[in-house]
Amino acid sequence: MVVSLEGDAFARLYPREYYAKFVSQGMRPDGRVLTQERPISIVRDVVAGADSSALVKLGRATALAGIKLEVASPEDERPGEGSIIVQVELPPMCSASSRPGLVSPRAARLTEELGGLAESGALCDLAQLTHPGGRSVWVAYCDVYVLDADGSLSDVCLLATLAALQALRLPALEPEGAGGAAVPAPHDTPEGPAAPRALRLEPPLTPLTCGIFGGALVVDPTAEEEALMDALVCLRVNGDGQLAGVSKLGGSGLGREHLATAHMAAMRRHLALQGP
Amino acid sequence: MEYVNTVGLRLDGRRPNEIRQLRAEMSTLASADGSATFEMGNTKVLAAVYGPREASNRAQTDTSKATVRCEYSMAAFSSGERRRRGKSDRRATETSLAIANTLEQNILTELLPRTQIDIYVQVLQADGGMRCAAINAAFLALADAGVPMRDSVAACAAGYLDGTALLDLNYTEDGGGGPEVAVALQTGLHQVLMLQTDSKLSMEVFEEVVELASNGCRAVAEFLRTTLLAHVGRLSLATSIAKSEA
Amino acid sequence: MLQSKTFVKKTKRGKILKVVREHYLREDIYSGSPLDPECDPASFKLSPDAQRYIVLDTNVALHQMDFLEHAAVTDVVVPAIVLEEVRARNQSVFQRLKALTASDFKRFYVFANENHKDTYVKQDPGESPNDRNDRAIRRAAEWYSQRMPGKPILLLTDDAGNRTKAIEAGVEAMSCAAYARLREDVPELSDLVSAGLATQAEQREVGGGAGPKKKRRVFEDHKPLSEVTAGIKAGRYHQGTLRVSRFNPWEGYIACQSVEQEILLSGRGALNRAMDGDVVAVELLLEEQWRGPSAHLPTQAELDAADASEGEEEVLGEDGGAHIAQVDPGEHYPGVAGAAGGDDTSAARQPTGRVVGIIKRSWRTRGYCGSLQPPRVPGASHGPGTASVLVCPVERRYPFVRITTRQAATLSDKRIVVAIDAWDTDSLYPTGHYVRTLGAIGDKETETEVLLLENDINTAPFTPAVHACVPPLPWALGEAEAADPARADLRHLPVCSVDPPGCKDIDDALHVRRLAGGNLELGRRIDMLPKPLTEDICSLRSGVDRLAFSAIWEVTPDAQILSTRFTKSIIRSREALTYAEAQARIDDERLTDDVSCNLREMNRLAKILRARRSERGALSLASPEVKFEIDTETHDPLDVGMYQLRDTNQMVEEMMLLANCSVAEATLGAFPACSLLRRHPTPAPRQFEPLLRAAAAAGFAIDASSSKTLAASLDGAVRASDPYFNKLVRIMATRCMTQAVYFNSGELSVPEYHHYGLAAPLYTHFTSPIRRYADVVVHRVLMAALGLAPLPGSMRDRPRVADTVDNLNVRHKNAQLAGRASVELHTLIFFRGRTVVADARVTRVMRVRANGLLVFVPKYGIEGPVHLDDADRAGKEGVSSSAPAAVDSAPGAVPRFVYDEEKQTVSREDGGVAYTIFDTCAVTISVEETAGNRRVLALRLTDRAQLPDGERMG
Repeated sequence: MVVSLEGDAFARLYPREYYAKFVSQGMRPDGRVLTQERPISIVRDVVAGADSSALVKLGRATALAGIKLEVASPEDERPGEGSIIVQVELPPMCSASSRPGLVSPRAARLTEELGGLAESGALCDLAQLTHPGGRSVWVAYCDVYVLDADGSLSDVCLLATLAALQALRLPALEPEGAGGAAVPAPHDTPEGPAAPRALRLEPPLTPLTCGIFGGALVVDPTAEEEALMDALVCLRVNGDGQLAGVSKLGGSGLGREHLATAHMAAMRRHLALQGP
Repeated sequence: MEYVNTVGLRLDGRRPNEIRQLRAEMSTLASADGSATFEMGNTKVLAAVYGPREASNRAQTDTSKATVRCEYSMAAFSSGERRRRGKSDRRATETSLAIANTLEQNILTELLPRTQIDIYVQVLQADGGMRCAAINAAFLALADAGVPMRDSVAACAAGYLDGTALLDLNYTEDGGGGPEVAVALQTGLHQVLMLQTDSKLSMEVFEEVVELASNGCRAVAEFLRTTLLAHVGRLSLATSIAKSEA
Repeated sequence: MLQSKTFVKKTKRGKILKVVREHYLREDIYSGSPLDPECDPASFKLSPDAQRYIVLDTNVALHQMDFLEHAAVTDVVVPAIVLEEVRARNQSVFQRLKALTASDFKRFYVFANENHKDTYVKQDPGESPNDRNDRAIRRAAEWYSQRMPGKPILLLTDDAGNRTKAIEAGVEAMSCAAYARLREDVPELSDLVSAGLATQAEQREVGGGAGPKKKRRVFEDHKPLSEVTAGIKAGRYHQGTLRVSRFNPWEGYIACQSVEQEILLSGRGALNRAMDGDVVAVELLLEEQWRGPSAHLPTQAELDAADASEGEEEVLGEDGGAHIAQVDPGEHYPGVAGAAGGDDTSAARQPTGRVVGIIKRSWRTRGYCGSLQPPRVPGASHGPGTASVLVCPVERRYPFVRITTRQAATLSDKRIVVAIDAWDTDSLYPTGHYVRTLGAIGDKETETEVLLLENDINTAPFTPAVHACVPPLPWALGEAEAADPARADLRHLPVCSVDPPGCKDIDDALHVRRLAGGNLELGRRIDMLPKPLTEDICSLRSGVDRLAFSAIWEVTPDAQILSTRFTKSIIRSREALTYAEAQARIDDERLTDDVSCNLREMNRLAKILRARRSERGALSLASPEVKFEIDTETHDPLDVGMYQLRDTNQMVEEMMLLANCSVAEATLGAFPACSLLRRHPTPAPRQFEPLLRAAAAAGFAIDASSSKTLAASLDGAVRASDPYFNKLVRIMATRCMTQAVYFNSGELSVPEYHHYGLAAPLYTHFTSPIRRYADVVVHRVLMAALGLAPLPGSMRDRPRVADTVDNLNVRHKNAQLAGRASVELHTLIFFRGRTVVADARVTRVMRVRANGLLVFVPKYGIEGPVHLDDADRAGKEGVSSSAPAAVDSAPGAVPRFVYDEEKQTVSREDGGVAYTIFDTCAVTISVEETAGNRRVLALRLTDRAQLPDGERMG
């Protein structure tokens, strides 16, 4: 698509009007139709030193999740469970507008959102993160770095977290001895090295962020678009395609029709990612 | 620990004067003005450049030249044990300053008054030699952003273990307790931009190690040149395709 | 051209970490053979003319080093993975393997298989690292076969599974034993093959078809390590390092924290294959089975009988086929019963236990010296061919070792070194293999080598790297040193040295000078090093300029120290004197030269210092130091006698003590946490018991509550009629002392620094840096304390200092033991072929036992047991008396002796003779050859009635 210089200047001076012109024609400045999401790419194990990692791109939006495993004592209130702790970082490189040294409130919000999801066991049953013997558990620290904050960050961060968890293999540990210290299982057993174990994940959630702009539903907005939206809606569908969560931030109301459209779009993404 | 074995090979199979395998990719992040990843063996860093752009802080704006700033940090999962969050990481601050200082000398800042150039470096994987890898990545990102520069810059470290000068130490060798010297060169102008060590070492050893590190810089420079040429090649190819389509 | 392989490994470092390392594969790794056209000539090592190239497996490198070191084993390919596995498993073997790879004659070529692009193998899923490494070694052998089709490649491995797989892959493979048999050109090669587990497994395999001889188990199985660890934790077992009796390999003790007293292990079964130095786990027996130490001297006949009967059972077993007469491990060994401490009646029973597991073997990699057990039938000799023989170790504390050899006939009169490989439950003795021959038995050089080896004295020459640090001769004072402002020029002072005659490494020199104001200046200068250093550059020879380190005191005329100063210096010794010469100069009042006057003055000061020291409670102890007069031609000893101490010895000693104490103070002041000091722990009261008992029997009360009271008691223990009595008491007191040890000041509290014997709060070794490493360390610390040099970084590294200190203590002890052994050897040589009667004027009873005495012959510095019933036993060799306690077995023939512990007296029941401690007696000294090719000095009582009246004392 070629935009004339005049258009460029107009867009900078009157971004809302500029955008409204496109929406009125069912289009968006980047050439997508309103319900079209950006292409998704997922690459796993990009950081060899982490226990697992995944780089997810949603158009330009990019998040890198890396998991480090640690052995810890289980928490008193949840003796039979390990934990997954998600921390989202928005380093200054992620956008032109960020300034060094500031902790982004958005990062804190994303951390809370994803952290809550992981903690609740919605991503995977935390009982799998215990060791034989049960005196110690795994803590999986999942650090998500948003490298390019080009919109729909909640989606890109969740997708990166899920992909990293899928790639994770728990090393085989020996049953704890009297000392209680967990040690890696010896490689030199007659049966050969004990095999690491993958996590059985819950049927994966698929997230989708949508914006409401002047009564129109805009799927998977970029950062520029997000700045113009009246409201943002994040929804998630579960393995069966059922709506598993909706959150709306600010702005005007969300009609039944919009919700149905958004659900349809989320279903499409879900099928594209997980297969039929 | 034997850092150089009976047949003269290092723990990872290199000879003392060999650098690790280098890999680089440019324009890895779309939103930044310039970006690049650079790998030296298992050390992997990502650099993003914003600018030259209008200085954000008017009070600190230099009317005669551009201001170069750098923020260097390591990802929590980049090293052996998970790094806890801590903003007051003195080492990172010091490294940030060293990178900014090294590259500022090479940028034609006088052509860009009242602007600032922000360099952000994120270490994704740490296996020794991060400071040098960061400088190399940032150099590529600056080139990607089209920032005017005097010369090409390349950085490489060398150390001394088991009585032998070793080029481009990895994490295990870095932990061997020997001295390490990091060097950054302007490879065309033969100027030393950075020469840094935290350890005590005799003059003879120092000279030997610096000489080896400088050789390493020249090898890195050759690789960076190839990377840049390939990137420019792709760009011009893309431009000509766009032109023919238009 | 680098290729990168990344592999993942999990490590344990408190946390569980994923570790990623790069692994570069290369194309520039060569075969090392000129037969390979692609090989870089710079890496040629293997000979093109070799019969075959041997590819080494790890198990061979680990267990067959003696075999590999044989000159006939050459042209060996050592895959780098083998080197790496050996390094991880056994440092000393690794060093030996590295030496082989460095040798030009052995042609051991290290092939970097792990980094070669064609020989690197990746661990398969489910494959253990061991299997993967075996595969990598086979892959290397295969690669050599492909690269050099004309040259036979032999994979040498003692792992049968590995051999099978290699042969399947078309690579020839052999065990060491098979290869040694193949090498008919070098018959002794077979002897060197370790009879390790692998070989035994092979023998079992081979013998499997021929109806295996079922061997009965002699020993209990050791418990698995996990059970041992759990047992120790639970308090069921006790862990300790085994110390075996010097006279008997079947009696030992362990000290452990969990049990107050030492635990006695008595008998073959109780020791259960544990050897001296092993870390063992022990289970206590029921209290009614506890035993006590013996009050019985093991007689030579008993020891001989034990030695002679060693091995008999096994032979019987082998010959007898079905009838296997093994010794029941629970039973006491005939003949040694008395010696084994089996005195059940003794009141002093102590915790007794048995070994259930061996936590760490301490088999010496340097081997054990011994000789073949002579054939049982006198006059018979070992036949040709392969024979299984027992090696009788020189040290009685070790058991016999079974080896297989083809050279039995030639080895029978030799001292040899054997290594121990294994000890199975069905074998009475450990199995081992021949390592090398030292020389003919009894030969002085051979026996000296034996004692050096037994005491772990390293006599390997200094490496070229060390020699390279030594300035060339002739050495002269350099201008830089002369101009050094930190170095005082003391060449004008009348310094002299006083040493034993013939001393080459002169390491201290003295001077005294009267200062204005009547005070005196006392000086002492000092400077394991290569010969040019010890005998020239650092030796303070007379008339030449030497660099030194000086300690200078300003003292009042009555030897009160006013100030102390240390400085680097340049000195010129006026004269190098012997003790005797110095004494003569002091005594000859007519001499008024500088040096003589100085010596006289110094002697006066030393006497004051000495008096002051004894006032503080310093002990003046005595130990029988012996000197030999050596034939200048043959180096055989011509005469032996006690070392004569003169005033000058004491003078030099006093100056040495003063310097050492001052330096200890100076270094500790500067570096309270990292000074190397020497302490002498206060002996535990029970250590004095033998002394107190002996003195009490002689009618003297000794108060050992402090060094001061002890010193006073020793001074009081004087018999007017017996001038030597006091010396004997002092010798006895010396034996109650604990060993003085080096330590790092940071590891102990200040009261623990105390030096008991010298009654000094601080002490160190500073004065002999050319012959003691500790002094070199102290010199460095003192230099740092004076600000002349930085403190060596190694001194701040606590674990490293601890290692150094431990090593200093071990080496010091070994050197002492070797010194003692050397004296013994020279004594033996002196008495070889002569029989001397030491009459009652010179022979004293030092200890009384139920069946004998321990006598001391001061004239020769000899101490040894004599048996009261020896005379009666004559002609009855091989008496297998196993009776406990009293010696009463042969009815009627042997008179009974009664032992009175309190009076320290043993007397014949019929009242004929009685011996009390400190008595005099007459003995005949001669050298006897015993069963195990050991030579011992035999002392026999000589009837007093045969002596002139005047000598019947006490």
